[in-house]
Amino acid sequence: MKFKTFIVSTALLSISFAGFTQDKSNVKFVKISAEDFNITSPVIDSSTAAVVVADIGSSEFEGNRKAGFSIRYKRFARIKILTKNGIDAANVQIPLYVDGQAEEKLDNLKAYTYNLENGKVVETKLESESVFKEKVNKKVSVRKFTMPAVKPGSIIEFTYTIVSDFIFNLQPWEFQGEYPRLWSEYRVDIPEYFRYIFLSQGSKDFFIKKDETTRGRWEITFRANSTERSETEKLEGNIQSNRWVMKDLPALKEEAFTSTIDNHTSKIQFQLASIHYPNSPFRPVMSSWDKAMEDLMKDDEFGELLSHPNNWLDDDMKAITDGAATPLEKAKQIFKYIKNNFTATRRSGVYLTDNLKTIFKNKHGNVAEINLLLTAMLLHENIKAFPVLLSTRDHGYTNELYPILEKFNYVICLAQISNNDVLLDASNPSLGFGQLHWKCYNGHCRVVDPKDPSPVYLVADSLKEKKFTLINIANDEKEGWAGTVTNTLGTYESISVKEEVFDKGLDEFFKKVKSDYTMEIKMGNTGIDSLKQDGMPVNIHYDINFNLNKDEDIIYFNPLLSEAYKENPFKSAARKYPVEMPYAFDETIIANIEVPAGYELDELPKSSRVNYNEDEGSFEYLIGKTNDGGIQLRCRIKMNRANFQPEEYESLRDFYAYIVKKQAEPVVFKKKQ
Amino acid sequence: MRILTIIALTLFTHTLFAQEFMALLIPDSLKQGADVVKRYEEYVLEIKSPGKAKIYERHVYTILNEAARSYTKYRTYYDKFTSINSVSGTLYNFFGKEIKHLKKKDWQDMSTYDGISLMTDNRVKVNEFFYTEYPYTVDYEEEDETEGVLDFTDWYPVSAYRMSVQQSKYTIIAPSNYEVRYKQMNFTTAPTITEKDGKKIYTWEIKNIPAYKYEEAAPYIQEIVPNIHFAPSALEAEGYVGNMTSWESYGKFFYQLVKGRDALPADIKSKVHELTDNLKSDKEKIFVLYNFLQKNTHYISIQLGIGGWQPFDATYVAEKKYGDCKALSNYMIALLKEAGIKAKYAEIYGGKDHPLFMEDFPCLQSNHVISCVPMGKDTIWLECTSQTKSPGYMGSFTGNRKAVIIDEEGGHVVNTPKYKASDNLQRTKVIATINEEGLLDAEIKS
Repeated sequence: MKFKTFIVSTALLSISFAGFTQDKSNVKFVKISAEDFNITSPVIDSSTAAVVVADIGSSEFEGNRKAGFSIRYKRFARIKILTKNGIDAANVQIPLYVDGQAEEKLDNLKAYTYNLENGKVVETKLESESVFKEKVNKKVSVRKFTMPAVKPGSIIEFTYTIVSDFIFNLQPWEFQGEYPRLWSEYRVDIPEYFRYIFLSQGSKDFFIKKDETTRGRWEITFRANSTERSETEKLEGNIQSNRWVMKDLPALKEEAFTSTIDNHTSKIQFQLASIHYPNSPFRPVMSSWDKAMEDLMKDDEFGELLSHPNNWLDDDMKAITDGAATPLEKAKQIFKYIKNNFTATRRSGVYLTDNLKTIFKNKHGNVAEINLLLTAMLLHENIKAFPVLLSTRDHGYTNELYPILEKFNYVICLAQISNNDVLLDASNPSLGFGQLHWKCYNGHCRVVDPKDPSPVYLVADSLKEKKFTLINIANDEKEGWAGTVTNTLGTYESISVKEEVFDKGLDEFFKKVKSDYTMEIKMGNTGIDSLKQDGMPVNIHYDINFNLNKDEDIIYFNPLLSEAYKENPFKSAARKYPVEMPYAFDETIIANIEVPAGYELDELPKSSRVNYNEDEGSFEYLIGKTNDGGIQLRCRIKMNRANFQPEEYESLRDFYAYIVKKQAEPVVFKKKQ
Repeated sequence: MRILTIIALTLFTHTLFAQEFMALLIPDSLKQGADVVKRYEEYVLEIKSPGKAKIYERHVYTILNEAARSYTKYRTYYDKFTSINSVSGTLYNFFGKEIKHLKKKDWQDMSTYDGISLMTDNRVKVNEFFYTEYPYTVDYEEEDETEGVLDFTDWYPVSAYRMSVQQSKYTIIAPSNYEVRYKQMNFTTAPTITEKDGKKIYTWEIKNIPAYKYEEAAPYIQEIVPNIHFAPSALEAEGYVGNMTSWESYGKFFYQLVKGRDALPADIKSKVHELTDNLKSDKEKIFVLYNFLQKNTHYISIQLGIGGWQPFDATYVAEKKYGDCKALSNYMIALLKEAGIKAKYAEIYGGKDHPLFMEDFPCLQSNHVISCVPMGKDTIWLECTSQTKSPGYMGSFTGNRKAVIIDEEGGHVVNTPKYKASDNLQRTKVIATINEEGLLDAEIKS
C-alpha cells in the first residue's frame, strides 16, 4: 500500500501579539476581538492602573480655502483599564487653540468602550451629547468627555482629527505618560515650504526613527477680495516625512526633588523657523537671539517704553529717591518703594497687559509689569538696567540655542551699579534687595540687551543653604519636663516661610508645625523673628511641653523631635531622570536634653558618621552623656550639590535610607526604682 | 456769585467722597482685635412668587491691615437658574476718596471648578482690588434674579474671627399670603414687620458688634455668633411645585424629582434575578446587589440645570456605568426594587466635619445622597459612590448624624449609625519564632 504523505506546508502561523509585526502596530480602530483583552508586557506590574496599548498620531499639511495651509492632526488611542484607579483614563480632554474668531476644529470624534462578557466583546458607543465644551481662557478651549460603560478590564478607544489654520501650532507628541505605553507613534509630513526646528527631550531610545522625502500636491484657494471669483493654485513639492516609534515604555511618575516631570518626559516639539513659498520671498519666523531681543525691546507690550525718557516719572522719582546719595542707595530706595506699594496679581508674566503709566497708577501688575517698571525707574535715574527673561522651575527648562519665547514665564531686572551686577525681583514682598526666589534657579536665562543678549545661568548647585536648630529640654518645677525649640533658617527657606505666613497667617503656620509632631505636645510662646525685615533670614521659636505621663516605666524618646526625616523621599527603586534639589544644604541640629525627673538613662543610640561619595555630602550623628547626666546630640546633614545624575540615584537613595533609619532611633529612659 | 461757587464746590467734592466710610469714623471698640470692620451690610430678598426672587446685596468692609486683604476679593456665582442684573465694586482710600470703580462689564468672568465634577454650568464673576495703603474701604453691590430657588442665603453678620460689625441689615419682602420662615440663633431681637400694598416686609438689624477672638478647641464660629437661617415655604422649580414647611412636604417635593426614574433595562432585570433569586435572606440579597453596583459603576459628577437636583434615571446608569451620588443611589434602589426589597433615597451632609442639623427647621441641609433599607433596628445603609466600602458601613463621612429620607409619603428625619470605640478595633495577632540563625518567621492575622 502506498501512502501518499501529504506534507502540508503550513503558512507561517500569524500569532497575534498584543502589539506589532516588525514596524507597524497591529492595533486598529474598531478591530478588536476577545484575544485583544489579554495583554501582558514587562512594563505592566501589579501597581499599574491602566495601560496605553497604542497611541498613534500623524500631522499632515493640506491647502485650504483661506490662501494658505492647514495642518490635519489625527490621533488614535487604545487604552485598557486594569484597576479601578485607572478609570480616570476614561476622562479625556482635547485642547483646541483659539485666536479671536479663529479656532482649531475638532472633527470625526469617535469613541467606543469594549467589555468582555462571557467571551464576547460588547461595544458601547460614546454619544455626542456626552461631549462637553469648555472655554479655559482667551487662547484655549477644551472638549471633554468620559467614556461610558467603563470598569476594570474595559478597553476604550477613541480617534479624532484636529484641523488647524495655525501653522505655528504643529502638534507636539509625548511618548511617555503616567501609564505605561506599549506602542507610541508619531508621523509628521512637512512640505518643503516650511522649516521647523525639532526639539526633543528625554529618552531617545526609539524603536523606529525614519525620515524620508516624498512628493506631495496641494490646492490652495484664495480670493483677492470678496467680490472676485476665487482662484485655485496647485502646488507640487517635496515632503519631509519623519516617523518616530517608541515601545514598551514604563509609566513615568514625578518623584521628590524634580523641577518638573515635563522636563524629563520623552517628547518632540516643533518650532516654526521659516516659511518660503514658491515665487515668494523667504520669511524667517524664528530669529536669532539678537533679533529676538531687539524685537522685544521695540514691543510696546514689553520694553518699548524703556527707551523713552519717561518724564511722567519725574516728580514721583524725586520723592522716591529723596535722601539717597549714591546710585546704590537710590536703587535700594526704588526697590523698596515698588516692593512695599505694588501687589503682584500673578506670580509669573512676560508681557505687559497695560502700559507702564497705568500700572504705576494702579499699583499692581504681573511679575513682568512690576519688574519692567522697576527697570524703567532705574533707567530714569541713569542706572544701567536690563530686563532678564527666565523660566521658573515648575515651568520647565528654556532652550539655549533658539529664542523660543514661550519657554520663558518670568521677568527680573539686572542692574549694573558701580561695576557690580545685581539681579532684582520687586514682585515678591518676601525677597530682599538682590535676592531671587529659589524657583528662579532653573538654568539658562537671557538678558534682554539687543547689543549683548548674553545668557545668564542661575544654577541650584550655587545656592548653599544653611539651617541651624537648637533644642533645649530640662526639668522645670512648674512646667514639668519642657523646653524650647529654635530654628534659624537659611536665605531660601526664610523666603518660603515669609511667603507662607503672608499667605496663610501665623496661626496656620504654627498649626502645621504642631501637626508635624507625632507625639502629643503643648506649644506656646510661638514667634518668628525678622519676618518683616528686608532680606533677613528668619528665626522660628516656640516653647514645648511634653506632658510626660510619669506612670510609664519606660519612655522611648526621639531627641530630634519633629526635625528628623520621617521617610525616605526617594521611594522608587529606580529612576531614569536626574534628581533636582532646589539648593545645596547644610543642616545642623543640636539638642541638650536633661533626663526627666524620676527617670534614668537606659539606652542611647550609637554615634555614627557616613559620607556621600567621599566629599560630596556627609551625615554626622554624635550623641553622648553630659557630666550632669544629661544627653547632648549633634546631628548634621550636608549636601554639597543640588543636581544629581540618574546614575547617582541608587547611592543617593541608600544615603537617605541610612539617615532615616538612624534618625528614628530613640533614647530610652527607665523609671528609677 | 461767590456763594454759588462754594455750593458748587461742596457738591462736586461730595460725589467723589464717601464720607460715611471714612476710616476715621470707626469707633475704637470696633477696631480692637479686628483686622476688618464690616461697615455696612444689607441683604434684601424679594420673593415675587414661589420660586422667583430678586436679591439685592451690599457689603462694605474697611480693611485695617494686610491680614484681612482677602476681603478685597468678591465673587458672585450664577448658573442656569440665577442671573446677575448688576454688580459693582468701589475702592475708597483712608479719607473716603474713591480710587477705583467697576461696573458689571469690567468684572472677570470664569467657569467654576468644584474639584469633582466633569461638567457644571456654574460660572462666577470675580474682582480683586489691589491697594497697599491701610486702612482702606471696599464697597460691593449686586442685584440678582433667580428662578427655581430652593435655598435662601442665611444671615451671618459676623462671618469670621477678628471681624467687627458696625451695621448689618436683612430684609425680606414677600406677598402677604407667603409664609416667611426663619430660625434665629444666638439672637433674640424680633424683626420689624410691616404690611404694605399686599406685601409684608420683615427687617432685622444689628449694630456695633466687637470682633470675636479665636480660642483653641472652640466650636465653629457659625455656632456661637448671632445668625438667622431662612428657607422658602412654597416652592416652584422647573415645573415642580410644593412647599418646605414640614419635613413631610419637603420630602414630597423632592420625591417628585426622584420618582418614576427607576426603570431598568431587561438585561439588568434578569441579572438581578440571576444573582438573588436563590438567596434566602434579604440581607444576603442586599449585599450581593451592592457588590454588583460597586463592581459595575463609578462616580462621575455632571451637574447641569435641574440635573443639580434630579438624578439621571436608572437606564442611564445601567448603560453608561457611571453617575453621581443621586443617580447611583437611585440605581441601587431600582436594583433592590427588582429583587423585591424596599429601599429609600436619603439626603445627608457628607464630610468628616458637619454642621449641626436643625431638625425643627426643614430646609436644605444636605450635599450628598445615600440609600438605606429600613429593617427596624438593623437598617442597612449603603454608600453608593464607593467601590470599596462594606455594605452598611457609613464611616466618618456619613455616620453619626441625621439624614432625611425621601419617599412617597414625604420626608422624615432619621439617624445614621453611630460607631463606638469598640467597633473601631483592629486586632492583629502575630506568632513569631526566631530560629538559631536569628531569622524571624512570623504569621500575622489581622
